[in-house]
Amino acid sequence: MEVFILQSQDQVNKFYYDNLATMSFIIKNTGLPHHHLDDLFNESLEEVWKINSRGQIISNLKSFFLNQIFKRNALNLAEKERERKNTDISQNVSPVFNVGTRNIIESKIALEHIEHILSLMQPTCRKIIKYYLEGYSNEEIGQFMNLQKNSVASYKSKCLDKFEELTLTYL
Amino acid sequence: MEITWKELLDQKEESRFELLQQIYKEEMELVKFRNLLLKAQAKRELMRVKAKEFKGNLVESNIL
Repeated sequence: MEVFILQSQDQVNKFYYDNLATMSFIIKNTGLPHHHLDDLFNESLEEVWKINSRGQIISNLKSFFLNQIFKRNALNLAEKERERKNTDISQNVSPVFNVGTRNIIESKIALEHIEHILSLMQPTCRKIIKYYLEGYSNEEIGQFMNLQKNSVASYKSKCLDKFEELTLTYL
Repeated sequence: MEITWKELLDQKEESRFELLQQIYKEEMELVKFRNLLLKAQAKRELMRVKAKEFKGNLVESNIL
């Protein structure tokens, strides 16, 4: 086993303070909060220690640590945090949205969800509901699809029933 | 050293014991290093607190 250069608390802390500016720069660029720095430092240094103990010679500890291990770990952690935030948001969204009233659907998740449900329906229903959610009247939808006003209305009520059924089963 | 259970069980008994010993040694060393890192972190935190107190004292003395 190679002897690792940092063998005492003071040496570790000196290494920490030497690289503090670069580490905080990397963390700032990845968009992570600053309090992750210490844990990331420990984790990355442990990894370097493991690599060294397997017999790989590290010629430039500073650049190896910063450019390869620390940067990669910070990026991975940032991605994990982002995923965690996204799942949190999806859990907070209320699972029922009323189809009968015209809702302004701004959230991306709700839109994705609607599109998923629409993909399960027949093409005519899909088109009618899309137009309906965009706020068009029966007459306008009839003009788009070459249909009578009344047939659009009957289609729409059937399709909305189906849509509601699907939302309840898929939520 | 990374080795799966299957690889370990495939070894002869004598070499298996040696391997286990080696793994144990490496693991103990890793634990030592981890402890060192945690102690160093605690020291850094202590220093931060002390620095803050020092700063606070300076501010107070200036006000007084």
